[in-house]
Amino acid sequence: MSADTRTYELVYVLPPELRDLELENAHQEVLQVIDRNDGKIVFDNSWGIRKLAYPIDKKTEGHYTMLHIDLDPSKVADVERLLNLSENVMRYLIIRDPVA
Amino acid sequence: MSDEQETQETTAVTAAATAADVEEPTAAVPPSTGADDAAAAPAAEAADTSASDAAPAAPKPEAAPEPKAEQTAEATPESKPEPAPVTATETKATEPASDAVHAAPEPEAAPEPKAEQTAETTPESKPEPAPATATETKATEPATTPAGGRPASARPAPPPEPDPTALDPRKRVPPVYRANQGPSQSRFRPRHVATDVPLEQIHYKNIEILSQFLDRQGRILSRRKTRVSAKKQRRLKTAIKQARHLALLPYTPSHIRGRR
Repeated sequence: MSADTRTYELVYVLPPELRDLELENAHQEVLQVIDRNDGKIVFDNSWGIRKLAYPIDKKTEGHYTMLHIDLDPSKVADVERLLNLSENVMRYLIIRDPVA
Repeated sequence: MSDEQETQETTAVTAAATAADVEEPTAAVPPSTGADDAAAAPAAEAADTSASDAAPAAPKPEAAPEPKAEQTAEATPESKPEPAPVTATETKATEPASDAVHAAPEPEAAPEPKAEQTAETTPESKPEPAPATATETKATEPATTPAGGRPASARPAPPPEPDPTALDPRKRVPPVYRANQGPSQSRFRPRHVATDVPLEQIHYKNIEILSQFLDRQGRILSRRKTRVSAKKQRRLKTAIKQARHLALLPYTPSHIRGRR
């Protein structure tokens, strides 16, 4: 982690109905958003499909994925903007890596 | 314990009754009613009155205290020393009670003492002890019985050593945590306890811990209930809200009950 970046933890939720290729594409979409902002993925961890505590868009489950990203703090806003625009991402959360 | 005592007493009463039958059958009845109160003494006294001719007053009073002495001896090893000296014949640790028993029976009231202790010992065992010991037991027993009469209950009280934590509220051990029972009725109710949650473990992914800080409605418990430090409570608040955002935790009860 260089001086101009910070490690962030990103969790995003994808719709449960996505399968295989669709799911892969959705993941790629997120990765591109990060890549476009010069983010570097240092860790990724899929939580798999999980039951939601409450329905979102009438869906009761979701694919959870957690990433640790080295990212320029000034780019976080743009990442968030793009994730908001994403059709697939139901929810996301970006916080500073609690460990770092 | 008390049950034991009662049973012994009842047996004693019956025995006394049988003994008393020889002289006065009717007199034996009252004791049985009195025995319910766990008062062996009444029975013995009654026996005395009924069977006064059979046995001198001295031996019988003893009979009453003895049962208690037995039990005290069993319950508390410390009490043994007293009975043991009385009857040196048997120095076994567990025996003291029985020794006392033996001692008591000797006097004259063979049937009564037996009955009380007969639960374990046979009537024939009485003869062994010497009258002198019996008198001694008399003297000692009254003193011991009052204190040891209720061995089980009296025991706990003694621990006088002051608990260092009792004085300092901060060191008080929190009550055992009970699962989310909903909001507590009063603030004097046992508090929520997960105060020992390590700060590092408070994050939005740790649902198990976070859910401990929610009531049944999914509301975040107040610090008054959680008794958690301000710092931890702040982290909890943030973590819970983050978890809610990701649908890891519910926002409202409808999310809980209305789960489809």
